[in-house]
Amino acid sequence: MTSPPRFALWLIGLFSPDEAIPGDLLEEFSTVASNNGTRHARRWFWRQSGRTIAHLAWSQFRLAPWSTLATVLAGYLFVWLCVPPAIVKSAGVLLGRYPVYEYVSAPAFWWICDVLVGEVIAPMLVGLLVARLSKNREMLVTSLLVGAIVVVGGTTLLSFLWWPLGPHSTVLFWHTDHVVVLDVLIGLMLMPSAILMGGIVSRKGGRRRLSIA
Amino acid sequence: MSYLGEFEHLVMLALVRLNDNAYGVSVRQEIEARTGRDVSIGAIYATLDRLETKGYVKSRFGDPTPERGGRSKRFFRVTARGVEAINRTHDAIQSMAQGLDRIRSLA
Repeated sequence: MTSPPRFALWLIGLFSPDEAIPGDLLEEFSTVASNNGTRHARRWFWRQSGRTIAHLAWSQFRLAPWSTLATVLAGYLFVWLCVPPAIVKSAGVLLGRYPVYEYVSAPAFWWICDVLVGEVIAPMLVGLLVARLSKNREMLVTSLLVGAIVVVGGTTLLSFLWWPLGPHSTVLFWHTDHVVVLDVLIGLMLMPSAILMGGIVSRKGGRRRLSIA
Repeated sequence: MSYLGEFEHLVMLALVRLNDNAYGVSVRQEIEARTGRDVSIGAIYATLDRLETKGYVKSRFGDPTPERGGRSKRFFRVTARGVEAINRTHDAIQSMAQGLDRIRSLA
């Protein structure tokens, strides 16, 4: 019994509106595998999956381009406007209830809050929220939001790293403080993953509710 | 009054040919066998969804089958409005192509 690439099948499931598309690909995979061998069939499956996801994403976008872009923009603004207060608020709650500084130093505590709240929990909630706002386009919207964050964040980081040093340069620390650069890099990896995770949770949750109904 | 796009036209004709057995795989294979075009399942479904929104096709889910990992087939059929759209598009193409056979043979 040959099986298709599980990850490709999972990805298709995230983007397809119902179970018919993964079912069709599985059915054709069996035929291709028996005619041309498993390796060829697995390559075929990956190729079909990629093209199918691209088509589905594009048709979902074409169906509601303005609301998709508006949701992505709202998500983007939400990330930058709400995440910093969320870090401060949650750190304040923890500091108010527990003698945190007895167990961990202040910089370490704030770094943990920054990573845990600012780069994992809050972005995941934003991902969940934008996915909920865009029914049946959850993965498209969260993927576009992640794309925007990676492009803007990556460009900003690179421009800071390559910024010419001058006597009045306000971005000197980017060249000298590798910890900050590393922190931004960690953020660029964690935040998009957390947003995507929020989208996936919303998508899977929606599917489950649909099948129960 | 609207006409079908080129790929929409191909998909609609495949549905008519396949009659009761028109679902993603069979439509894809029919188009590939008759035109030689390697199209993805995603392209077929994107077009079928658009045609369904326009009211040219209707879909229903079949029973789940083991060779599809317990997933159902989604069968499509052409509606009366769809038949009208096919005929309208055919008429337009035939009208435009009328008398061009001789020109093509001269080229």
